[in-house]
This record gives sequence, structure tokens and C-alpha cells, in this order.
Amino acid sequence: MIRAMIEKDLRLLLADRGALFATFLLPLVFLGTFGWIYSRFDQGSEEQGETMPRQKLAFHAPIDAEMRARVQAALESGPFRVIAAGSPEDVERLVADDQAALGLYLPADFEPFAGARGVLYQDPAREPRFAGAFAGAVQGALAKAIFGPQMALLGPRAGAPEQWIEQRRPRGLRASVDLDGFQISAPTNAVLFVFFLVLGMALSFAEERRTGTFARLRSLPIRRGPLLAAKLVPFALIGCLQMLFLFGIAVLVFGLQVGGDVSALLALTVATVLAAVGLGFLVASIGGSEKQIQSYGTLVVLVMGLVSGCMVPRFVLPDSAKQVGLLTPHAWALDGYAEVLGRRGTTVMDVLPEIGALLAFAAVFTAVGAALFARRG
Amino acid sequence: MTLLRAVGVARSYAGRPALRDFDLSVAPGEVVGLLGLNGAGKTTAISILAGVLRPDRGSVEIDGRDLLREPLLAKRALGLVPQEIALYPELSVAENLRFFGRLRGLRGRELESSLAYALDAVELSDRARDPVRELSGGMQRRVNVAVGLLGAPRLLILDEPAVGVDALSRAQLFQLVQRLARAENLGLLYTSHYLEEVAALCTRLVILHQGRIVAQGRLDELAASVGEERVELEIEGPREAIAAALGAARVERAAGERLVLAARGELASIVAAIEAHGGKLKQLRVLGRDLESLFLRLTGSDGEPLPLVESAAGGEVRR
Repeated sequence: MIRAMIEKDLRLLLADRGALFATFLLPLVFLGTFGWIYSRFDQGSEEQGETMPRQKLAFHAPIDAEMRARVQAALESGPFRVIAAGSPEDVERLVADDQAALGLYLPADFEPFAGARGVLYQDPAREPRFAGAFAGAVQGALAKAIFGPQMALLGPRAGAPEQWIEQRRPRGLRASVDLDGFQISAPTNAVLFVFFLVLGMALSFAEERRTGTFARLRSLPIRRGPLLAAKLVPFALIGCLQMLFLFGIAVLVFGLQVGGDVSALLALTVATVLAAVGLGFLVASIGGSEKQIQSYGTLVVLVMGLVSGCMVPRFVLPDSAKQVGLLTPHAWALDGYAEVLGRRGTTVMDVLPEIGALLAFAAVFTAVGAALFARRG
Repeated sequence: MTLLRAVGVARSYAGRPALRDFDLSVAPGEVVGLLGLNGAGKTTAISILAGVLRPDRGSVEIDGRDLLREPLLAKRALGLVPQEIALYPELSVAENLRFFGRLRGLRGRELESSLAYALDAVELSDRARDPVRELSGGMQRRVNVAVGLLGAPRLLILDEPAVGVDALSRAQLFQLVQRLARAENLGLLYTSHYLEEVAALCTRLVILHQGRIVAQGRLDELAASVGEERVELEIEGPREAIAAALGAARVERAAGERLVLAARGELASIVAAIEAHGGKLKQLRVLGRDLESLFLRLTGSDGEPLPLVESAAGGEVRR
């Protein structure tokens, strides 16, 4: 039965040029265009001398309290938001887990003039354009804390500030791939457009109700559960095909790098598609006319895409917006793709939280959809 | 032997009853017409009988199987032809039939022979490869029926299958329905809101109004139950005095200038009574004793519906 439904829906899709365009070509156009635009942003910002984005910095310094306060104040007057860490290992872990972009540890015997240096943890590939600038800003903050704001007038007394800290990659950190426009545009557009399945599914249910085919299917000797499952499976397959097509073209044509395991990419993709199918079933169960679904369905999909970071990259969003975005499956998918595509050696285990969240969304959407569907009769 | 038996079926939507105390049976070879105005409850009844909708109360058996307890076995004996053209227009005729056939559980040779039978029955074997959207409305209706015939159902429910088709297609459809009942011994339940359609096709008629069966029986029984010929009068003058003079018992309905009453072959004396009371007869219409009169009377289309009583022939009618 499921095979018959899949064959039927694939035949209908292939016969519908508009649907084919919206499913495969339109997202590809968006992916390519946004990738190109994001790449221009890189060049433009270099030309215009863009200011450094504010970053979280994990800080632990068991030194004199007054000096620690001065260092912290100097860091926060620069491009950093300081997060207190409990130990040097904590500093390293926070950076490795990507909870902070940088980590600074000043040991109790920190004495830059005597060669007892601090440690700055960061992944140089994370923000390659700014990695050197971040290190310079930390060194500048230390100099400011030690010498005061007039440091420049005093001149070097015992070695240059860049020798006061040692730069290290935190242990356990997976190396980042070079971030370019297509590393951003591929996952954002793939996620945005796979959730347009929601509209396709809801409209398909509405059309089947209107044309009587659903009543006909219900009159056949098939249980309702398998019938609904058979109706959802083709959309899940189409969603997976769409995602794989987009990522495939992005790799082959636009040079998208997949830093992690392909298995992690596939698992995350399946979880994302299931969440989209679950949401589609929920919207289909809420129902309404095809016009109504078109209106509120589009609104739901676009608003979710907007707050989650599909239209404005997540790393550009303020923290509060990032938190709100986590109420959508899109944001979890994007966080997962950031790991899988952006970090070398990422495995399924590394993106389990994101996969788990997406599957939870899928389960909740499907359960609520099934309850509404049963209530409608 | 009964192919369909519904007993005490009821269904409400948001507390508003759509179907009440619905009893119905269909035997092999029988074409039962379910007749009612729009909103009478036909679609609700059909949806329940086809297992699309669960009733709030009552039971439905198809070919001896309880539709609620053994839905899969019961539905094996059922074919549904929905009111809409329930097909995928982009797929060909054969692809549509094959899809629904597979979902009925047909495979391989069994599927192909069932498909050939259904196409032959609706005389569309030569159009099997054509996309449904390229067929005429009448042909699409016939494909709609063909899908209902897949898997050799013993009971076929046709929900207004002739809506919007031309005279030729309608005649072909009627021939098919009659052939299925007579030659194939199928039980057919045929809904319509066109009286002439069910009168031409059906051996038995069930009239549904506001969710209730208001009459059911053989066509001749129902026609006989109309009783005496009635007349509708439009009069000027003291209507109440005239009605009293004509006899309260024979006056069925009085509204405004109109009176509906039993004629009893006394038109001359009726006119005389009107004139004797200073009234003037403006118009007289003989309502007759045919199914249309009965239908209009039962469904209140010519006034308020009448109370339900048992007919002499075992059916039920309102008088």
C-alpha cells in the first residue's frame, strides 16, 4: 500500500512542473544567490574595515582581585562579553563546546615581565577574518589593565604584549572548515525550503478532501493509521530527495565543504525532514480551505524561517533571538548543520542533541496532528 | 440475505443532529434510492455506511460483517462511488484504477483482470491510457464508477453519480446501474436529489428529510400512499369562514390566501362554497397523486412536513 501511495505521489509530483520548480529549482536559486551575496559581504567588510563582532570570552584568573577586575573591565570595554569560568579546564571546555568563542586563563603566578604567560584559547578557523584581531584585542586589554590607558605613551618595558599570552587550540575542539558564503546559504536555504513541504502536504490533504479521493481511500479495506502513514511517507521521501539534491549541488557546484561524517549529515537530514513532515501533518489536520491553508501555512513557514535564522544567519542574531529561535525545529536543524558542515570530524554522536530535538518536534507535531485528525472524523 | 443493514444509526455535528434513527437495508439485485433535498443528511448517511465516518449510535452490517467491529472484512464487500469525481486527473485512467485496486489489496493478474472488467463495464477500455483530465465530464463520471467496481464488491454505494453529466452519459450510467443489479446481482444504494432519476432506476425508495427517514417502501406503495388528489386554492375573501365551510378535516394547510385541501372529486362544490361565503377563486392548482407530490409533501417543500405514520404496505410515510 505504501509503495502504491509513493508511486502515485511521485507520479503526481513529476507531472506538476510548478511543484518540481518550487521543490528543487527555487531553493537552488536562493542557495546560489544568497551564497554569492554572503561571499560579497566578506569582501565588502574587508574593504570597508568592518568592526569585530562582539564575542563571548570564558575567563578564569586566580590572580590579585583588583588586577582581575581591571583585566575584566578592559576586556569588556573591547569586543568581548566575559563569562566566568571556574578553572583552566573549564575555560578550555567552554571554548571546545562552542559556548564561548575564546577563553583566557591567567595563572596565579601571571607575571608577563618574568615570562609567566597567560593562555588564550580559540579556534583560529572559527572566525578566520578576526582570529588575529581577537588575540590582539585580548593583548591590548591586558596591557591596558597593567599600564593603564596611557600605555601607548609609556612604550614597551619588558617585552611586547603579544608575548604575554600563549595561544592554544582547546583540546577536544574539532577543527572548523573555512567559512564562506555557501557554508551559510546551503543549510539555511535547504532548511527553509524543506519546511515548505508543510504547505505541500496540507494542500494535498485539503485537495484530497475536496475531490473526494480521501473519502474513497477511507472506504477501502485499509486501517486509518497505515493509510495516514502511507500518505506521509511520500512527502518524507520527497523532503529527503530535496535536501540531498540541494546539498549535492552545493558540494559539486558551489564547493560546500562537509567537515563531519556523511552519516551525521544524513541522520540530521532525516530528522529535519521528519520534523517538517510532522508539522505538515499538523497543519493538514487543522485544515481549512486550500486558500486558508495557503495563507496561514505560508505565514507559519516564513515566520519560523525568520526567527530561526534561515533568512538572517543565526550567528548574526542577538542572543535573545537565538533563544527564541530554539522554539522552532529550524533552529535546531541549523545548529546541527553548523556542526556537521563546519566542524571536521563531527559524528552522529556530536549532533545527537539536535537530532533528538528534531525528533521530539516531529513526535509532538504528529501526535497533536493525529489527535486533531481523529477529532475531525 | 441482506447486503447492507443499518439499524438506529445517528450522528450529530457539534450537538446538531444530522442523522437520526436511520434504518436501511439493501438486498442483492436491489437498487435502493436514497432521496432527499440538499442538507437532508444523505452525505452523512453515505459516509457512515461506507465506513468513512463513525456513527454516534447504531450499527451497520455489510454482507453480514459489522462495519465498526470488522471494518476491513466489511469494506471488502463495499464499493463507493463518491459524489465528487474522486480521481487524480493527472494520472491516466488505468493508473487511477491500478492505484485504487492496489489499495484494495489486488495484485498481479487479479488486479489486471479486475481493471479490465471495470473498464469494460463502463465502456472505456479504449481510453485506459488517457489522462483523466483529458476525458469529458461524462467519461470522468464513468471512470469514477469503474473505480467503485474494482475488487468485485457485492454492495455498491453511488452518491449522486449523475451530477452534471449530459443526457447520453446519464442514460449509459442508468443502463450500467440496472445491469449491475440484474446481471451481476449487486446490491446498489443510489442517492440523488432528482426524483426522476431514482424513480427510473430504483426498486425501492427511502426519503430522508432533516436527518430522518420520512418514508420508505416500493415505488408503487409510496405512490399509492399519496392518497387522494389534492388541490391548492388561492382565494380572496373570508378564508377562515370558507375553510370552515369546506370542512376542517379536509383542509390540510392554510397560509395567507392559499388553502391546500383534499379534492375528493368535488371541485364544483368547493368553488360554490367559496362563492357562497363572498370569496373569489383566483387560482386553482391540482397537486396530483404522484411521487413528486409525495416528495414535496413529505419534505415540506409545499409547506410544513407532516407527522410520520406507518404505511399499509409496511413502509412508513407522513400523512
